[in-house]
Amino acid sequence: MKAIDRAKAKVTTGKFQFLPLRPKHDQPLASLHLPGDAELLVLERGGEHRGLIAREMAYHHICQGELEGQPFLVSF
Amino acid sequence: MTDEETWSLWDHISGEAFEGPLAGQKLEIWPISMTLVEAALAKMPDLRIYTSSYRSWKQWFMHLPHRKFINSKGFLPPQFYLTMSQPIDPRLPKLEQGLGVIEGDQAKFYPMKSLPKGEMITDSFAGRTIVLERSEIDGVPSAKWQAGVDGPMQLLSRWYGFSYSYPDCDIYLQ
Repeated sequence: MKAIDRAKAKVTTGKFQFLPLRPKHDQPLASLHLPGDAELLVLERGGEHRGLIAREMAYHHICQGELEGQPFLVSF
Repeated sequence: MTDEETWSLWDHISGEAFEGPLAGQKLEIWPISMTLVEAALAKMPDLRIYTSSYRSWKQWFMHLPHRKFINSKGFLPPQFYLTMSQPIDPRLPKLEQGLGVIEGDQAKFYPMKSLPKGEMITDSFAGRTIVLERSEIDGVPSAKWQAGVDGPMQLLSRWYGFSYSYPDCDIYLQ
């Protein structure tokens, strides 16, 4: 079991909190006109796939939602 | 990471709560693949994306150390390491990137440099034969069981993080 300093862990719950991404809708990748070398995270639930833009997740760190009726949480 | 109901602390890689009221509980975990837009459009042209509407200097600032992750040397500010509660395993450079695979209580780290593009590597892991290869388009490694179509839990990661969650992990040495 890890020993952890909770005082340090609380850093992210203060003023500089990272807000989790709670997706409300999605868009076709092709419509976003992202550069070809932009990085994505791809998750799968119940046979359905969704992507997340890595540069956005570098801030949010967590995306929490539901896909195909199944809850998911992605961390980055 | 922490939950907002009990403020238990969770290892975001292993999915295990290690402090707080839910300590010892474990979330179901499954692989999340990393790729490039170019590769995703080739493999899954209808892929849909969850986008963020959040815009702030914080988002811009946090993106700086993560401008590129796949096959990158990486950078983390020195103060980041002060937030880690135990020393980093010295067996590999802390920012070494590789594929971490997990099955039950066993874990193994395959450094990227041991997985040359265009080559298929077979290895023994968790009592089974595992096959690893890197995608031609994005260079991202993946692992599958030789017998079957699925693979173990896996994630593209850096050594400091993977060895923190799996301190007794093996390392694939070519």
